[in-house]
Amino acid sequence: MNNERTIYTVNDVNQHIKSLISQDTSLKYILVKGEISNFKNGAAGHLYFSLKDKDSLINVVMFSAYAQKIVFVPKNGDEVIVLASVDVYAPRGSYQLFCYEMQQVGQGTLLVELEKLKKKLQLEGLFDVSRKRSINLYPHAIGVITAKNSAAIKDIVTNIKRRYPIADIYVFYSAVQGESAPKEILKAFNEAQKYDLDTLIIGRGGGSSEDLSAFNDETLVRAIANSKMPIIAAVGHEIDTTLVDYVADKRASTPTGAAELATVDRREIEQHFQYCLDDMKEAIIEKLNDMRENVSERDKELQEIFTDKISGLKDNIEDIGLELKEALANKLEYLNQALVLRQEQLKALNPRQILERGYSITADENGKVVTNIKEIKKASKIITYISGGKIKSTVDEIEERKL
Amino acid sequence: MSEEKKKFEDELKRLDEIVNQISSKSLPLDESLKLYEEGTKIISRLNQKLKDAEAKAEKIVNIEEK
Repeated sequence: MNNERTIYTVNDVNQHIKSLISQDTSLKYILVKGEISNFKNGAAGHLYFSLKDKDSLINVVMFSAYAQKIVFVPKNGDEVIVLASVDVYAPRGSYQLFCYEMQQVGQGTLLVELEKLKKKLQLEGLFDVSRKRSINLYPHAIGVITAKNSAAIKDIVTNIKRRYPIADIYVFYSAVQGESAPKEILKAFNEAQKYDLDTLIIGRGGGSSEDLSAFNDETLVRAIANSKMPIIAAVGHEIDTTLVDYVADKRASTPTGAAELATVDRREIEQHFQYCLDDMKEAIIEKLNDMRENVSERDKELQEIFTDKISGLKDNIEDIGLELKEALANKLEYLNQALVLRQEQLKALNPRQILERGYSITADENGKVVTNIKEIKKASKIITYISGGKIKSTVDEIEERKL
Repeated sequence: MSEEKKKFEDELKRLDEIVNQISSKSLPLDESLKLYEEGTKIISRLNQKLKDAEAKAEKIVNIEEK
């Protein structure tokens, strides 16, 4: 042994081989044909077996997620084609096939053909998302193509009726497996095209081991691509998609699922009605409240205006009262003055007043006031009224003034 | 055949229209009440249609005869 050379561990070697093999794309997703031997149903549904031909043998492992898809019961001696990748199991230094799909020979070639057809149609754009039409969830008529007396038709019809009984259901029975199936399905499809349908559901018959090859028929797929109405496919299983599933506008994995894709649920409609009623009621109540608020606001405004008016009037009245008072006082003052004036005047006219100013009044002996000298005779008695009293005297001489 | 059936969806649309109109602040109360009445009528009519439709049977198209 030479110390200068690298010494690998066993695991190093196995890991290196593993990485080499896993990098080689020519060992990935390959189709391998052979006969099953050493078949074992492992724990948890995994399958372990070998594939052999007259010269060679290889171990195969198929995990349960993939094994579930197998539509036949594999057993030793079966000629099969598997889709698999080569994988190294390092702990044992062995390589094996990691298997994804398995078909019996005869169907194996179909698998290849199918892949080719799928690619071709895909390239033509038949599966494009942009081609998918939307489904009218309030259909007046729905067509259903499926097998007579199948569980599928019962599920579809029951669920459509439960969800949206308004829809008329037209059933077009057809064989869905067997040699005549593609032609029969196409015939039913063409017949359905003559009807005024909102949606056409294409379903399988039901049952786990059925052959879905009719739904990979090119003519049928192309016909469906040109359907007048949107198509809901309920053909393939969850893990096994047919070309009809790809070309359909919508795809359901169960018949019930197809009914659900085709219709609105009446419970949703009824819920919607309830919302509509609530919304309308709410809107009307809101309107009423608005109006009420409006009225009470107007009322308040009116009251304010009224109060303003009254207090204005009150002020007015007070003003007028003041004016009146003033006018009255003025009047009184004026009258008072007039009275004083008159008193003065009257005072001036009083004869006694005249006497006080030094004048005197002469009367005859009877007391009659003498206003002219001619009324007096010599020796008559006269009375002279003078301030402070009166004088009785006798006239001595009369001297008339000559005018 | 579609005239009578199409009505269901049309009436649903009308119902939505009514709800929208009533919800608009500008629509006067008396008109709102009129529309409300129309709306409730549509609802009971559509409910009746759903009920009536329950009894309907699916139509089997016999392809061989065609």
